[in-house]
Amino acid sequence: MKRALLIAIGLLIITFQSSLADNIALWGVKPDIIFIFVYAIGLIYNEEKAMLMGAGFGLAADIFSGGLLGLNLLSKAATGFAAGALGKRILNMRLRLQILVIFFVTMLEVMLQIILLSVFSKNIMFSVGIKIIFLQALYNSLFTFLFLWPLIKRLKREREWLLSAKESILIR
Amino acid sequence: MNKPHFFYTHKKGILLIVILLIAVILMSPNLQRRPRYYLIERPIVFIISSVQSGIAYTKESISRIWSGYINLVRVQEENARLKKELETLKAENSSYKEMVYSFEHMQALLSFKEAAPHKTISARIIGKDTSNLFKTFTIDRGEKDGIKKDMVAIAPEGIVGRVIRTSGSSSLVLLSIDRNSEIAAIIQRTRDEGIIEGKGSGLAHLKYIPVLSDIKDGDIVITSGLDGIYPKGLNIGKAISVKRGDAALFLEIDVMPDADIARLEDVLIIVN
Repeated sequence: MKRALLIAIGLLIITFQSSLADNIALWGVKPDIIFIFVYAIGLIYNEEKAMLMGAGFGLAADIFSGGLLGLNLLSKAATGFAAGALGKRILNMRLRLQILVIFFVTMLEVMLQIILLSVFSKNIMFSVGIKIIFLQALYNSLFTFLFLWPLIKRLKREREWLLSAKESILIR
Repeated sequence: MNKPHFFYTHKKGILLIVILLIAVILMSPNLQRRPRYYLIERPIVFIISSVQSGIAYTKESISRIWSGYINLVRVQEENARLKKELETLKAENSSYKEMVYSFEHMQALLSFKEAAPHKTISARIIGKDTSNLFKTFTIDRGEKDGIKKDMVAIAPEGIVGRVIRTSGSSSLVLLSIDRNSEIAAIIQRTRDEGIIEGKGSGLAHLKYIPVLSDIKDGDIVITSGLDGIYPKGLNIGKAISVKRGDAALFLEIDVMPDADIARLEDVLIIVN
């Protein structure tokens, strides 16, 4: 049931990404809402689940794109893996550091896509590539943070509660 | 007994290898060039394009209500009518110019034949590419409406792109500004032939124009028809930057497409 709900939300997000994300594009670059969703799955669950979900949603996004089939599958799976591996560790970090982590994960994702494109398809122009890498990383970190801040806060609270419960059991 | 144990202890690694393998298989050139969506893809395409159609319709209705009632209705209608008239006149003017040039070059007969009006059907844009690296969009017309691969999408101002993949009720259009788009082109005034390639941004790049060419900023670039996909004489755009390298054989030319691709809502597909 939970998995079916995640898949339904993911498909809805892909639809939104292709229908409405263009309306909030800055200098022709739009935020990657699918990335934000996969990143959230990584934070909540583990690497394996986030990687699988990332690959699935990446493939669905690829089907709807005129670009290289398999590109999003691989990059979103990598994002899921990275977010899952970082997992709860990100909760201990300071706000600024958390934004920086998201910024770098996005940068790495777009860089991986550009490398895959130059290997399996056509080279992307340097100036265009740089513009997309930086703008998307900025945009994504801002959006990820706005959307995920409540989730990160909740996870942090849960973690603190669990730690204190463990402590009190140990004391007894 | 050992096998499941091996799987569970190496689950992450095995999953990673499987995903990598699938990705590499999917990236093979044969799969990239598929003219139609595969049966396995069609349910996803159907579900997402149906929701996209709904969103596009809702968006259109909201914007119609907003602009129709909030703004001055009559002024807007008048503007739209005048704009349409201007676009028609522009297109007519461009095609007349092309006829004159072709006549001067002893190609009048061929030009008249090719300037015959194209049979088109209109299509609504229901979705755009999910990635920032590609420039494609989905239209609400598919195989049921007679859409096939390589049919050309145009707007009143000029060329938009071509169909690269079709399904029952939707199709994917590769825009002229995408890196993977190549269009055989000709400069209307100088008659130099080249190839228009998308830059991945909002511009296109005109390749293979010799340094001796007399091309200037503002020169109109049209399709030459030599690629066998785009009919001859369709507007592509205007040269906005012409650079001459020191030891280069060809000029570096940037072209601004005439069609305002970012704001397009509907296109015409040439079906004959």
